[in-house]
Amino acid sequence: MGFIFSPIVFLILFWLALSGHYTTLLLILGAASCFWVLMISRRMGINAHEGKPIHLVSWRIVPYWIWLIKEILLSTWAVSRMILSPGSSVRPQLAKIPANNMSDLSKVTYANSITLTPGTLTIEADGDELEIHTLRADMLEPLKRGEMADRVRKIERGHNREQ
Amino acid sequence: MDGILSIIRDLLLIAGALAVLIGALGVIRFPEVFSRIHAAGITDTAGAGLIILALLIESGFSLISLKLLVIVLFLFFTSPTSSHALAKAAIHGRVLPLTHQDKG
Amino acid sequence: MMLSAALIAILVGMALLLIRAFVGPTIYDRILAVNNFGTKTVLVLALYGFVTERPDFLDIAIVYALCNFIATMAILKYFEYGDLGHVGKQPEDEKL
Repeated sequence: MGFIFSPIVFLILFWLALSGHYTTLLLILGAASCFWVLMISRRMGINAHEGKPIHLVSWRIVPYWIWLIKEILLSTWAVSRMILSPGSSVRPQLAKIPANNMSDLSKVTYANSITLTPGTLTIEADGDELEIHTLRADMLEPLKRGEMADRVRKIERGHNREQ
Repeated sequence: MDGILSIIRDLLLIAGALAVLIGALGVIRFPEVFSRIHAAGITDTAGAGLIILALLIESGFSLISLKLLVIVLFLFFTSPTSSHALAKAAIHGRVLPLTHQDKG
Repeated sequence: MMLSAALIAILVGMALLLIRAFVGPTIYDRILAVNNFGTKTVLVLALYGFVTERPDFLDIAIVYALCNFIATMAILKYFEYGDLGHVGKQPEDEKL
């Protein structure tokens, strides 16, 4: 089952999806370009394990994304109100929050999710801590409670159990 | 197209366009780079997401909707990366974030 | 109809961003504005394809999104290291 997510299969499927024209000449050109991209990435030394985002394969990512979209909409609303309110309501703060018990992939997911929600921004991801910039102190509260971190950890734990 | 679907599509378009406008306004109004990154994030996430969702409803189920999904996925994966790179480069370039630590 | 309205709204947003790109004050403000301008351009291209009923514009939008991301990273790398060929620090470098 894992071979479906190998880079070459992914490239070919991606090319077929974007093209929409399936004549012989174009198919040959497409195959050639897929092969070419593969050669270049091999030459650049892109590791095979980075090419297989295990996270995205696990179906547990779906409930996480739905939750994340809800969070994004909520914080978009909060930041929009800050932008539209007269006078300056911006009180930026820097804070460190823990990101322990996570693999690198989970850490990236966590840091990117934090940046994706408006109002919080990951400035530095170093070791087991993330440095966060927030627009207002109260926007940090959900992160300090650690709900998002728990959800990110749950994706990975779910995956490990499946193996 | 169904009446209800087209109403949903129009509402999504309005919300998305408003998000894009508010994001741009925030980039103008906020006081320094790091705050402005937050405002720009609104365009990248909520604005792009809502508008592409409206276009997905418009297009129905076809190769076009697949391309729309590719666009929105790509934006969702790259936008935090470039925000983070920008913030890091700004700190590296000695533009320090202005902070208010008075409230704790 | 609503598609055109959204298109115009995004164009107004792009005009606002241009102000930030011109005013600055730091180089990072300008990069942020240009990057965001690019994201809005992707949306404009997608919407324009639907307004004119020529979905081919979506391909251009995809390519524009790719170019925008890579351009932003390249500019940031240039300003951080002063060199596009900089490879960052890698464990192999220390062995050589």
